[in-house]
Amino acid sequence: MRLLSHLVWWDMVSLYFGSWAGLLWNFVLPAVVILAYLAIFELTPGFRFGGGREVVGGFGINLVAGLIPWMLFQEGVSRASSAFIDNRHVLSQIPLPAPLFPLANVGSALVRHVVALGLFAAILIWSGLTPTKLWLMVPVLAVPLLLLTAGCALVFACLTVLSRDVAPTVGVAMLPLFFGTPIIYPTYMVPETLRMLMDLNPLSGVVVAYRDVLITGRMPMPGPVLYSFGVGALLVLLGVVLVRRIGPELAERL
Amino acid sequence: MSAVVVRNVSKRFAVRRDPHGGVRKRGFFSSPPVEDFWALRDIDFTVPPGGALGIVGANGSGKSTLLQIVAGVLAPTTGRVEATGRVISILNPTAGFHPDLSGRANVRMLGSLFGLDSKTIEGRMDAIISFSGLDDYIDQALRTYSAGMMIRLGFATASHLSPDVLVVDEVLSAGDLAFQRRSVGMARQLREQGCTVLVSTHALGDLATLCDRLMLLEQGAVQAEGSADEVVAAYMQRIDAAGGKIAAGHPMIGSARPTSPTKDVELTSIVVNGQASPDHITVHTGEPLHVELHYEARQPVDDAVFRVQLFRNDGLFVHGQNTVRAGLDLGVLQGSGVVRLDYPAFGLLGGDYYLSVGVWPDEYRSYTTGEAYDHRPSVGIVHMVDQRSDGAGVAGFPARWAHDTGANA
Repeated sequence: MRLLSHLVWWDMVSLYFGSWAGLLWNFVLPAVVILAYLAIFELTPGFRFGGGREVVGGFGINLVAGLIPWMLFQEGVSRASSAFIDNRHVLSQIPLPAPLFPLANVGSALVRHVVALGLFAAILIWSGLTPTKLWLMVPVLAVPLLLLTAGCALVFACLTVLSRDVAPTVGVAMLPLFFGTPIIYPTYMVPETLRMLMDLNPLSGVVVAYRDVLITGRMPMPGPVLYSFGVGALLVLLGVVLVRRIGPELAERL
Repeated sequence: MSAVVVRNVSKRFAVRRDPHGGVRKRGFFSSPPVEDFWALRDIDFTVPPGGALGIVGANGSGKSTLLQIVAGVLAPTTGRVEATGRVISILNPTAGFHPDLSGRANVRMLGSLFGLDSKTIEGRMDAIISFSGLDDYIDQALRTYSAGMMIRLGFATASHLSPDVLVVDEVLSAGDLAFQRRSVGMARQLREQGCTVLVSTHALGDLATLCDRLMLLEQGAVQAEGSADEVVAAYMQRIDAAGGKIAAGHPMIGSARPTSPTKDVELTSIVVNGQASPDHITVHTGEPLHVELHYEARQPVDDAVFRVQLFRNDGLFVHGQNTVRAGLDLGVLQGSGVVRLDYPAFGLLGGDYYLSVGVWPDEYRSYTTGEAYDHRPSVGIVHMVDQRSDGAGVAGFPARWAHDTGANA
């Protein structure tokens, strides 16, 4: 566990140019993303999130509430996919539990996630939204999100060792997944025919729940969140099995 | 009790031809063809605490694989490995360092990856930096380091992490000589504190002083094991037996500049110890060496200098003779003739040396500008065979020890 925290630390430091200022980037980047989206969609009149229906908050705020959990998943998974390859110089040198590396990527993404949440909360309060007790639900919702992220991170990191084509494929798949998740649109705008597809996407439940507790101010529906939790747990399990299978051969496959 | 136990360890690698040929060549889901390769077979040894085992062998003999298994980076296919206590390893020159972090940050990272807490590492930082001798560079990014500097930092860090078992693969020989000597000294100091040392290297001299036992690997199997003297002797013998002398045509560093011979005087044949094609001559230390340079002068030449030189394969200029130096007046060369050089007792010790011969228009200027009448930079290899009593190093001289005691002293 201490080792994991070290690795998260080194990952955060080395992510940007390996400078100590690099650590600062971990805070600047989420801030810039959030502020940019808010500036564009909140200050420009005409964007409405509801698609006709009355919803709480403007387009920008609703978008960012979905973007924050998405960024954790996207960043964690796409960087972890090549974690074993990126760290082969260490893995071929020091006997370490291999899963540490993708999990360190997820961990440093989680730190940025927390920073982003804090900043977003501050902006919400500043803009006049009163914080509710529901905000305390966020750490609970982060559990299925983390499971999904860590599960995919482990699975794709292992698969990339077997075939180098996996990491870039994951990167490419992120864009359709982004649009397949109700981040830039509310769920009820999805046509009935595609509804099923969206419900199958385990990220949908979490993203909607984040928005529910942060903006809309209602208790998230337990069904989709539990579904996300279940899929996440299964993915982590699959990841652990894969690591067990590939683990002993990892160093020689890199 | 043993600090390192290796029992019947074998290692099979799945060799994938074209491992990352991509989708186009082999389809997305089909695996590339796999062949078995046994890098190690039935390796069995133990090293007591504070002991030092050196592993020697040709490239590809399995040294690195064995050390990687002891370090725990690779899993053995069969057999088992036990190492007691903290195992610290330097298996490659980059030592697991991150290129973008500074030397100091890398020391911290390596230390924490090997399981030391940051306080301990900080406490030893000064000692590590001063041992590495990199005070001026320690805060620069590692990507600006040369290979030698990385190894120095790697070994300095590893040796200060209080290892119980220190595994060092090859890398020591890449540092400069002063650092090598310091490293061997450090390794010996660690041994005195009870640390077990496993090293592989080509620098047989260093190993002999550090290790009490050597192991010779050949194609993944142990060929000899025992005291340093025995194993080095066995290793040398095998190299000779395999004809593994310096391959003819092997690029030689540091010899004379490349030349464009004018062939005004041409070397028609070179005879060494009676052999007309001297591509491989075996000479015993202290026995005679005769070199005959047969020439044909295309036009009268009055300034010719004949030269015979010997180089080691690392480029060391071991010995040279020329006719001007020896005061031999050749007069005007016309037609054909022979220039002879005789060594009544040739004193090089065991090893292989390139023989280089040539005819030049003067002693120095032409040598630097490369204008030769004729030049054969690597006409053959002189394979020296010595006896123990001839001495150690590069050169041997007739010598006698004496010992007087008491009234005679």
